[in-house]
Amino acid sequence: MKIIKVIGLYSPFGDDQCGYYAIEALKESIGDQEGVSIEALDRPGITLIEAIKGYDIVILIDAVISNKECGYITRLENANISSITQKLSSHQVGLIETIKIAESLNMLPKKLIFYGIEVKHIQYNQSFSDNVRKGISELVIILKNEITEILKYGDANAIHH
Amino acid sequence: MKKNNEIKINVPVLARVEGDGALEILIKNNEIKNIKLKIFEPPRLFEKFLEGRSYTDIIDIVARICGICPVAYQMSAAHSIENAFQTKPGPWVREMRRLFYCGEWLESHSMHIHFLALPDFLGFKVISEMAKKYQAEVKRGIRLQTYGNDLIKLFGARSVNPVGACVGGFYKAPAYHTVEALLKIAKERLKDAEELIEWLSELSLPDNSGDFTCVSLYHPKEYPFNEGIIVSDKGLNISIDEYENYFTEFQVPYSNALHSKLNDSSYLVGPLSRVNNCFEHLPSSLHHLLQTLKIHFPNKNMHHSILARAIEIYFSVAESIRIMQAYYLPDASYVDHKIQSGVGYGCTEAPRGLLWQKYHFDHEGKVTYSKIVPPTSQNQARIEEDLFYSLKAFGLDKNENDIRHFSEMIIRNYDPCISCSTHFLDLRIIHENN
Repeated sequence: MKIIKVIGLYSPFGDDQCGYYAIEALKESIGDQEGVSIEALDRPGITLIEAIKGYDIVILIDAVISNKECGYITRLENANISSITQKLSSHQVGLIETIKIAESLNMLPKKLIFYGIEVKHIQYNQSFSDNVRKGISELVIILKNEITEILKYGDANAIHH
Repeated sequence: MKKNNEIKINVPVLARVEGDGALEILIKNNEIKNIKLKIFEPPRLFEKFLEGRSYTDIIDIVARICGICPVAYQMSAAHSIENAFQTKPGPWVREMRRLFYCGEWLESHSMHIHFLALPDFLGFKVISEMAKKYQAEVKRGIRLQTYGNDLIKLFGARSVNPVGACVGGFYKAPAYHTVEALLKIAKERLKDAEELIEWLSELSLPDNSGDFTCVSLYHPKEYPFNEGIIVSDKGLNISIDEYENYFTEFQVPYSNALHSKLNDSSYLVGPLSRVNNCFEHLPSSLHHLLQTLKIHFPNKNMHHSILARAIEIYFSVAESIRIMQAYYLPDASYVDHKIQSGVGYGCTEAPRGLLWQKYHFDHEGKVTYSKIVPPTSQNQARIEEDLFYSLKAFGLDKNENDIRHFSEMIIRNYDPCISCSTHFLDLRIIHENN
């Protein structure tokens, strides 16, 4: 039974690791739950489409820079996700383009939710900001509630109306 | 913008290649006088800052030269170090390195075919628009690319800059059940690979066949990844440590990248060269398929590089099946080695072609000198030559947008990997008339 997939997107650099740590914290918080799959993906590019295949609801977590305070959590849903402007990379197909391609292929889930954790910049080392860590703690509480509501009522709209 | 008889065209971004580049064309009296392809080349910096480092750092550092072909850099480096230390990794490592490479060819070739090259041939500017019309084909491409990534992750823990390769083998042998699960997926992907070749064979691809030299590795028993001699279709037949006696590198004033020549001429490395030189070592099922589709090699039409890549995708899936069907857990996933001073050579077939490396080590295993020759820099002279003849045949009286688009298509046939550049493609055409 594939209902919800939560994916933390990350790279191994600085605060861009937040997607990975969010997933680790979420796994510890909710454990194994039927119908819920939780995974961290290191720069999946276009192969993200295969990772979300077949799920009703997909929740993506990633670092964002949007001039808010460090650790701030932004939630976007479906069409609003394309409001994210992404730095162009010449090495991979980026997240927004991947979502557009998934839409063209009719491979988007019924509901796509994006949680951005605000970071200030990406450091090319293993450091990790305390404020981002605090943001992850808040996000895990939000996600635990959201997942519970989805499994209970069948729709993320139950708590986000 | 016209000023007197001068026409300047700026292309801010060369789309759908790895990295960024610049192109300048000088046309005088309706004839091409000069073509300059400017590529930023990161290996030149890597060669210098590897000096003084331990051999243990090389494999992880060179993987950062390219995000799309890290396995190739790691394999050429590993072979170089083992050559210097006279280490023989043994049959299990040999086979697993081939499986590792299958993953990289699959991932790189699938990405190039479906997201970089096909929009050219099918007339789409945006991939999402192409995906709407060719849903089944794009989904198939994503499946193949994902399978390639999974093979790399099998050994490397991740597909971007994998971390599993080491001197003498791999840090960890994959679990048997993981290999079994991937084998099941591989068998499904073989049908995908076959259908990809069938579909591409029906496309109307342009023809710019010419005479050029194809260079690749050659092995007497197998289609080459990690081992072999260096050959050309014009009679070259040398061991990898003789490379510098035949291939010369030289600086061109307009590019950070060194150009390479073989006996003073340009040459091609990459999938088309490999298929041309090593056709006999492709599996018989593939020969039968190509015969049925009336696809013949040797082939000197660069627009058919996309077909050569599809052929290598099929080969990589078939080869991965062969290796995984015979998989066993070894006593050790890597062999021990003894550090010694000396020179080591490694030459493997990156997705884009021959990747040659050489290292000098002191008695502590520290690098005192390194030389890394990537495939894209070797193809630079050939790309410029191709542009010269192809643009001439295309016609210089076309409008600037058409010339720009055509030039980009020619360059994309080579799937250049211009990683880590910070510049955009700036196409400048200068017309000088009397």
